[in-house]
Amino acid sequence: MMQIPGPFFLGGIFLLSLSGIMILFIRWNRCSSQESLGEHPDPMHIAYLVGGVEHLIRTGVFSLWQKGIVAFETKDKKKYISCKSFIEKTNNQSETIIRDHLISEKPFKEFIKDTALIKRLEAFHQTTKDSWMQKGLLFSGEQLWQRKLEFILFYIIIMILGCYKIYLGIHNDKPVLFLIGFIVLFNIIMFLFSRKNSNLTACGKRSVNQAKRNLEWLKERVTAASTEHQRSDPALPLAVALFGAGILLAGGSFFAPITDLYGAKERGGCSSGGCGGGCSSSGCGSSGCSGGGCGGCGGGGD
Amino acid sequence: MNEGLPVRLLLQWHITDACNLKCTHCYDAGQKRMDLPFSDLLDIYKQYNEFLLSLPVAYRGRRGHINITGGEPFVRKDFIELLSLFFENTSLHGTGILTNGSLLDASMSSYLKRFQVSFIQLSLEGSREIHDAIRGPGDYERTLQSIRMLARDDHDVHVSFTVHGYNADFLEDAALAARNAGARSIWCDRLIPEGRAGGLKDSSMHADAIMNFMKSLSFISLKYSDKKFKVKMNRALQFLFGGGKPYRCSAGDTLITIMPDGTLYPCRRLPLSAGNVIEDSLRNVYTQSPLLKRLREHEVPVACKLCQFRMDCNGGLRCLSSAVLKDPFAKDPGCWLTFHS
Repeated sequence: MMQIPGPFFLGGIFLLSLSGIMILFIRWNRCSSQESLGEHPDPMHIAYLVGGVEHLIRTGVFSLWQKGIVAFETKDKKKYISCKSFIEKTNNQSETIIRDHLISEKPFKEFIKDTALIKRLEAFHQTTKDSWMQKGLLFSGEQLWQRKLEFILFYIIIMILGCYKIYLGIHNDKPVLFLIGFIVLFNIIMFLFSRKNSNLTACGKRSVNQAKRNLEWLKERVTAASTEHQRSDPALPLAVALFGAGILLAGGSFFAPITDLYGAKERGGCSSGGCGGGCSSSGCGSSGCSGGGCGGCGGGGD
Repeated sequence: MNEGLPVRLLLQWHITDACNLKCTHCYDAGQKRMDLPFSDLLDIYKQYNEFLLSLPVAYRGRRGHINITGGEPFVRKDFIELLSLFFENTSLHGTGILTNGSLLDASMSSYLKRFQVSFIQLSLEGSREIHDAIRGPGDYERTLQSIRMLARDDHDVHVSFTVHGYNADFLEDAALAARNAGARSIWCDRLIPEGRAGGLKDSSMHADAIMNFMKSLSFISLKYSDKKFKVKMNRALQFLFGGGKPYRCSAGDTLITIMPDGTLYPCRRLPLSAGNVIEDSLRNVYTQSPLLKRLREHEVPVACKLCQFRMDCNGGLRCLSSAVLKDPFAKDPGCWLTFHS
């Protein structure tokens, strides 16, 4: 390595890093499956898939609040959650588990991190998790470990090569500034790369994104919620599961108790493009109806 | 008085039962009603226009739309005369034609252009073999020729695909043929086992088969839709894979159907009589029929009470519930969400 001139080494290690990153990126972003979340869009399952158990609890609490089963209170600047009714049916096992952990009033921040609750929900969703792993939407433990190993090995190889050359350069009074710059840049890129780590596979991300596109109209439901009846729209937990609790900010004061509790920020709510709006393809345009697909069933007796 | 009137009203008007084809999946049972004389058609049209004019003015744009069909509408010789009347009221309603296309020629196409027909809908049932088996030998080529001719004359041509157990795997063939022939879109809905279609054995699809069809529909939509051509996904349950707002049956609310003898159905696919507009006025039938009133209440079927989409989809295809379960207010028998729960 001592004999390799500095510029050549720099070029070589740059190409090696670039191709390594590209290989890892392609390997981790391959997806050939056509799985769709539209098959069984259970909001609790989707919340678990999108954001893990904490997001699932938030979605479940929102749904329970919609049904009037839980209530919130602020005492000494701390937000508390309590159950108002244990008799009311929840019709959803995840919601029942969450409600059953509210025998006494609890600070929400502690409740959402409650180990016993998390363990019960994890256990309940294990079957779903396994099925998603089989469908290639979630990484299995083994795949995650393999991913980490590939990442660390690649990182170590580049770092050893780079640092050894720097050591040799300093030892032999050669300029190493560019190589040091490269190593710093490489570390920044790898740090950013590692932060993108998610349990969702490329197929999982694609399925979630597809579900978000397909259920974009749910955003409109949130903005339209101006009556108690609309606030209790049973489709809203799915909106929270998919788009995050921030989406509720678009509903204004109607959802204030829940957005205050979650400390929801604009992120995850309506984007700058606005929420919903516009006509869907199923509606009639001003010029009447087209393609038989409007209101009427078309398809005459031809 | 408002009487709970809609903001707009789509009329699907079957001006005749006569047809030159005998499709195996047609919802026509073969009983031929006498066609009304032209004077009665004029009376119905007058009633419809008066009804539209009485609707609340809040809705911007046209208050109505008429889809003329049959049987085969071009079988009636006075059909063009009717279209010319519609042309005089284009600010009030649009006009669409649902036809098998077999009686269309260049001169008819230019008439349709002159009368500003908004769109013309023809049907494809899959590959050539499947289509001809359902609609008769040689019809596939004839239909494609008609689509090509209409597209050349710059008509808005749409294609309907009625899905059932026999042709569910052939949507892609139909979509490709429709696109290549110059149609602007293809849309599909499930077969309603009424009339001749009721005797079509093995045509019904199980909820899981419907779900798989929707998945492939979404895949085909992504593959073939572009600026010039759309594979539409706006029928019942299709929103779960295709996006857009959930479809809610509008039969009896913003949609009515008038049959060749003046009988008013909420929808052709929901053949339950609400009255007859020759014996009674259209307005009376619309506002007083118990069936239409109940349909306008949009009640959620009991089996859908736990579904998160109940406020949006309202139970799916009422016509399918009526045909299969003999209850239009029951849940869509093809819905996999309620099926699995």
